[in-house]
Amino acid sequence: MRIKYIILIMMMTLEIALSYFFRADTYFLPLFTYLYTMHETRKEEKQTYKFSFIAGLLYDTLMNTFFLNAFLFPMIAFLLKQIEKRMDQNKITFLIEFFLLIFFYRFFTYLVLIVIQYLEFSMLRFLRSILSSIFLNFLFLLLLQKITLYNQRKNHSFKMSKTT
Amino acid sequence: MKKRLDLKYFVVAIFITSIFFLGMMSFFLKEEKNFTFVDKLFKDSVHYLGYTVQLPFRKIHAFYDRIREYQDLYEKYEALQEEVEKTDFMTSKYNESLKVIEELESMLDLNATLMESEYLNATIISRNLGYWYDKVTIDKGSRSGVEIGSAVITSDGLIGRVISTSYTTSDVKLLTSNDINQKISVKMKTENNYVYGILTSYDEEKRVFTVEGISGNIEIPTSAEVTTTGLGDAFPSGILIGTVSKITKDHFDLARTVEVTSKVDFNGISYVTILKRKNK
Repeated sequence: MRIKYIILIMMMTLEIALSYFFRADTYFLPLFTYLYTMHETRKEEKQTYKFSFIAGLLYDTLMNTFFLNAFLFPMIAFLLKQIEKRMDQNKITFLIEFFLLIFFYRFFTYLVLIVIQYLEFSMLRFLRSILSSIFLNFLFLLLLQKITLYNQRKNHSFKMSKTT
Repeated sequence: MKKRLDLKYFVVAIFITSIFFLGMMSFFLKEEKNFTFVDKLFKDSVHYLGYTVQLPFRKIHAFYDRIREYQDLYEKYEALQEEVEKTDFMTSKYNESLKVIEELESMLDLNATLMESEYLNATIISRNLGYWYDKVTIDKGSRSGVEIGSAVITSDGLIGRVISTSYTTSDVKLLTSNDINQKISVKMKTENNYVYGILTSYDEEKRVFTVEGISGNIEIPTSAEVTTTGLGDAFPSGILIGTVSKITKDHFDLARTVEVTSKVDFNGISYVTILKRKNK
């Protein structure tokens, strides 16, 4: 249980560390904290919204964005769960889910910031924000998925050997 | 009937919550913020962990930079030699100007002018977290005397100002953010005079700033230096922002808009200097 929060802090640390090495206009902008939170919320049913809310709150503290992510993380987690219920699990749906994850986050953040007149609308900037988050984050989510699958298989074989 | 009533309450509750949330967001995002103790502690810890992860890679990067610098050392030496010859003349002129300013200040009984600042160097820890906010985080905070509102520069000119500080880190809002609250008064140097205007926005595509509300009809030469005026108490006077690259007039030939190109590479800043207001 606690390991989730430790990994969450590690993801934030990694995000900060990487942000220095990539230029601000690069196509490799990390969204590790957000993706890890969404990945974790898929696994559990009970603690889903509590964890995503706390993760959002911590992310807000880091970025000075009062309650923005604390509100968006559980909302996107809810949307994702609804979509998952209506989809089979295969490689194509994984890709679709990934694009939706990035799109939802960028879209809702941009929407809120435009509504409160913090930013002016620019379609180009919005599209660039999505494009800049695809490459690196796709690799990250793929790696996260592989690690989870490996752990699941390992746990399964361990249980099997215990019963036999 | 009861179900329909519940749904109505639910929709009204969501509507009110959304308005409340947006109102709070609007207030907190636009305001310069003082953190609580817990916020500061968490923010500093995570940033310092990130900085520690960066350190070995920074060292390697610095090592390769040094090797690259050694390769064209002689050309640099020759170029600097020419500069040194000019420096003596410039230094004496500068000292003379300082003396005159000091005398004038004492005559007028001024405590602090907007030109006077102390310099504090800092390193960027993270840049553009969250994509939309055009912010960088630096490794100096309130413990080093950084204050909210301090101007931040690089050797190429002004880059922004400090919007929040914790103990060992501070957030700097870049000039490139088209924040509606951030209108900066600027002046453009003509032959014998200054033309004043307001820096209003940044064009991401062309990578130029726009200056509007230009006073007077004095001709502005292209490549004229654009600096801060010191009016409005936000930035000290005379900090370079960029040079004039294009002047356009509206359809009625009345208002002028000036495009200003900055030498600063806002996407790849690594080291900055904070200007701390000097209080006598």
